[in-house]
Amino acid sequence: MKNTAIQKAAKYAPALTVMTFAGSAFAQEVAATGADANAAGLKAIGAGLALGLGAVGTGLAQGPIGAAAAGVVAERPEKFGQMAIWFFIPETLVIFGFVGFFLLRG
Amino acid sequence: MNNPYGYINGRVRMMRVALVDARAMDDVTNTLNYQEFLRQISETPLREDLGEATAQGAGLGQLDEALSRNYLKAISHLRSIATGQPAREIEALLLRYDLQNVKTLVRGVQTGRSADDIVAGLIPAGTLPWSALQGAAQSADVASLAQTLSVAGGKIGQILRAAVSGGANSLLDLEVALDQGYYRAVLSGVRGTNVRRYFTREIDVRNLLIARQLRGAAPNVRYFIPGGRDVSEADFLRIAGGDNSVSAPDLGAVLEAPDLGSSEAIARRLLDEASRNVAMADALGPGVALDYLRRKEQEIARMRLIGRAKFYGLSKDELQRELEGA
Repeated sequence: MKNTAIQKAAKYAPALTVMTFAGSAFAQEVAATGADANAAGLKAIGAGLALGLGAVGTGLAQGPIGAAAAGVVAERPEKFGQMAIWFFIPETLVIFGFVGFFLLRG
Repeated sequence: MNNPYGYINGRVRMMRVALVDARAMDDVTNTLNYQEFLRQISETPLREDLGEATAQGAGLGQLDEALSRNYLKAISHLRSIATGQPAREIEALLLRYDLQNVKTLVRGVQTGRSADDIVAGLIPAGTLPWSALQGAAQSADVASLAQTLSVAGGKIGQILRAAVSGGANSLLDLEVALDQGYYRAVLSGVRGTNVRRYFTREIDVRNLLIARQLRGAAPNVRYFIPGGRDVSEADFLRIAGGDNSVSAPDLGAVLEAPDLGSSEAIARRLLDEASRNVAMADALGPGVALDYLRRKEQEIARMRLIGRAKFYGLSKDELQRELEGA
């Protein structure tokens, strides 16, 4: 039970790291003071969250789709193209995240 | 989070696509003679395993062998794609074939049929090795049959041995003891709610059929199989006593059928429907495999029936009647 919880935490650790450091890295770039600095910091955190959460969502969706697609392709290799389309559809989530990221950065 | 049935069910669904579809089955049913039947099934996914069945002068023996080969291949393939807990659940589903095979063996041995005849009625599936089943078919009586099967391993063999040691000797006693043990084993082996619901429905249907069979004799609760949902022990005794009312309206048809054969056909249709429902509801569980196994079993049974009908020149109407009951 404990191992399962650790495994689950380990699975999300990379995404969490990206979210944390992306925010602080951009926050460091902002050389301003007072209110401007706060606004810039919050924008940077928002940009990190947009990208990071989009990536987590994509991962969550692609896990089961990928497993099912692998099963289908193992039986019928000619279905690879069709399965690839289903597999890539959740990538839109991370693309939306990227859009949010660039909007906030700009 | 990561469900192994995602991968397994993806494969099983593709295996289901490879089954003979309704249109091809109609084409096979509408053939004029045995030769045309063979030509028609050579155009279905079964062709890979037909082998000598299509050779000049080949008969029903070769056809049965080919169909058995195909069936065994499908079951072995299904077993090969699952590991861990899913594999244990699929093994639990395969116990159904062990149950059918052991019942065939018990009937055959009790009625004194030859070993070859008994083996011809066995299904090449399940968890018991084929060689053990062939050896068991040569048993002189049910006690030695139980001994052979329990040595060969497998839960059903042990259940039969326990039943024989417990004093069960009539065919009904033995079959009910096997059913009771089988459902106990299956319900402890599968975890998914949907699949368990399917099995509770199967238990209800089985109880109704047993109760119908008991009509005219003194109703006895020891023939009741526990684990069902809509048929209680009291309902079982009431139905065995001649009453036709049951709490689930769709189960009523099983009791209202004019004879036991029609009841069994209705029961099969109800269970087919239940297995299709479970396959849709249990997308990430063993329900898809359960539905596949039922469909494959029916495909092979129908092909055998049609093959026999064409070989002996049965009319279209007679064949249709047989297929409705299958």
